Amino acid sequence: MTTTSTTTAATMGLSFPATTFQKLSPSSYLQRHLQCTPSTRPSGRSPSTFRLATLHTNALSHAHGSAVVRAGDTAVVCGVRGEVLALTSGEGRTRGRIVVERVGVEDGEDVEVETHALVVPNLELGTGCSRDYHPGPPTDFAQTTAERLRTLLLDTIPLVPATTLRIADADGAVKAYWVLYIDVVVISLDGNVLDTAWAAIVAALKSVRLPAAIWDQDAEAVVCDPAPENFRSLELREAGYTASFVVCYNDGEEGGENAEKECVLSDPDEFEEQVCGEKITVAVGAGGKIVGIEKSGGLSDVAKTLPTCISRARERYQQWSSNPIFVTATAGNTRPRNSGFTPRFQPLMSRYRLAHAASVPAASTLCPS
Amino acid sequence: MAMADRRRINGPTGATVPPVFLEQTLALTAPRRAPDELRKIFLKTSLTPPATGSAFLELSAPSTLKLTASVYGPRPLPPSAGFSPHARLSAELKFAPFSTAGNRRGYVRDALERDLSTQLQVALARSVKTATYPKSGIDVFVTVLDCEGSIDDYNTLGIMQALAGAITCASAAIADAGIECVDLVSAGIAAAVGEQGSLVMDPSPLDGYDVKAAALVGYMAGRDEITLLWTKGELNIEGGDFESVVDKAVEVATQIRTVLNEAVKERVLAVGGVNS
Repeated sequence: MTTTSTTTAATMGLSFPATTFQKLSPSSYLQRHLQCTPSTRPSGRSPSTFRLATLHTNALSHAHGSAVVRAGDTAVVCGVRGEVLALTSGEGRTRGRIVVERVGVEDGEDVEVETHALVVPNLELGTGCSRDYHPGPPTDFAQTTAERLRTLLLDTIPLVPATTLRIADADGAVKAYWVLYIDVVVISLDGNVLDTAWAAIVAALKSVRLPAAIWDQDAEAVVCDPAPENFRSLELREAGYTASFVVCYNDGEEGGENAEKECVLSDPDEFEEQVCGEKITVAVGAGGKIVGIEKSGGLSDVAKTLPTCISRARERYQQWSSNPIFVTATAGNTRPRNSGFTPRFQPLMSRYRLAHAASVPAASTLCPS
Repeated sequence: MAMADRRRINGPTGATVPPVFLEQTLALTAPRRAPDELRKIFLKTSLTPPATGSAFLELSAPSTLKLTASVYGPRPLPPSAGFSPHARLSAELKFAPFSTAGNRRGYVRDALERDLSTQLQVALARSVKTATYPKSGIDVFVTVLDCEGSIDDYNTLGIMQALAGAITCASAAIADAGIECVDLVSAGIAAAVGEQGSLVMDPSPLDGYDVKAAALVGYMAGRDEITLLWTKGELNIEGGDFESVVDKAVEVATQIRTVLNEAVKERVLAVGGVNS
């Protein structure tokens, strides 16, 4: 509670609850929290604590791979669907001739992924996930975040090699490619959508099971084997993860002379993202190597803040990579379904709520119970 | 994909096709439910904290319907909207790109989503006490994460299923938001199947029924009022077929209402005014 008194009128105190203080003066509100010992954020976390993330994979029945990630109040669902791109070219009489040009490509170069747009990530924020995002065309923030995810996926942490997407005929010539449509739908937004979306993309890609694809010479088309035991996972490279931070300044108003000038907050929530203008994202790749750093806004002393961010990002990388979903390929039974499209589906509901009788509450594959 | 959406990351310029399988396996794997047995529902509120109210609905396996609803409001209308003595309820329903079988849906809103959004708005509009919130807007957003069956083929129940789930879930979200309502709306579907036209409650597209006619009702059980009625197929009004299918659908909606009550009980009691 804060009290201020005016000197003009008879001593009349103004006191209002914390939520009002938060709306009237958000940066002071944040500063006062950080000046406490030990410094705490309004959400109760310490500046270096990341939110605990929960992951569920393979909850969607029409996607080849899927993941739901919840970190605090930020929740995203990522679904990966594979479609087939047949390499035919030409118009009129020349239509149907297969042309594959792979000039100067060696193992490890993923020119095909880029030139043919074989991996298509998208981010959807217009789902009513937050009061600022309405259905409609994507906002600037949504478009830039989607582009950042695409750069991460194709360049910074190139998880998907072209070799795993090729569909070849019996002689080994490439006839078609799998195209992975990766759609991230944000259900709830409380800051730091990039980290959560990226983790969901990695988990979803690891859980993908594509049907075995065969090039049918007579039909000149790709046909797939519906037997679920012949579905295969993607051969991915080693995964990397991102960690985002914001830097909060103390303008000298709070805490006196000895106060900390800058505070680096890990995994910011919506309130902290709005108050603090300086944002840093660190991408950590295989083996804990730093593969990317982005910094925008702010006047902080980079020599001091970046090492903090890097060491915290490495810890976060350890947390992500020791999560069982990321360690092993998703185990579980494949279940043949009554449709030609037979993706893997793990029903996890063990207790049910009957519609016409009160009984044990049901469990859900997507939600925490 | 006809047009490239220039605000999104698009796929390759050549068209991609969903995988074509060698043979279609159509065997039913789950035992069919009894005609008067409903599927079990998981319904939970307050899962989207940034929203004023929210709810998540999921049907038990082998059904795969999953959807989430979030409600914002009552919040002020923009000045351009003009004076309104009642709250304006708007509803938007969206299918996620990975939610349907067959072709991947694009992000651009198409006619089906617009139609279902209007139906959803009609189903919910009369249940809210709009007169208590003048000059305000109440926004309901429903995202369908997983559909049952295909929604491209207009002969299937898939579209009705999605709408029925959306109505029930949105009603739970409105109650979770603490908005004053006359009653909660639950939605139920019944169908006349096969040669005899025998009635089935809560049919699923995965059951493989030969559906002759189906009815969806949005029903306020406390007041015995229907807010939305949507029927498909030929139904004989003189012979009483129409009434019997609609009555069956109302029965389904009444049973689903008990699930809805459980889900919002905590919130309703907290907001106050319930003597139970």
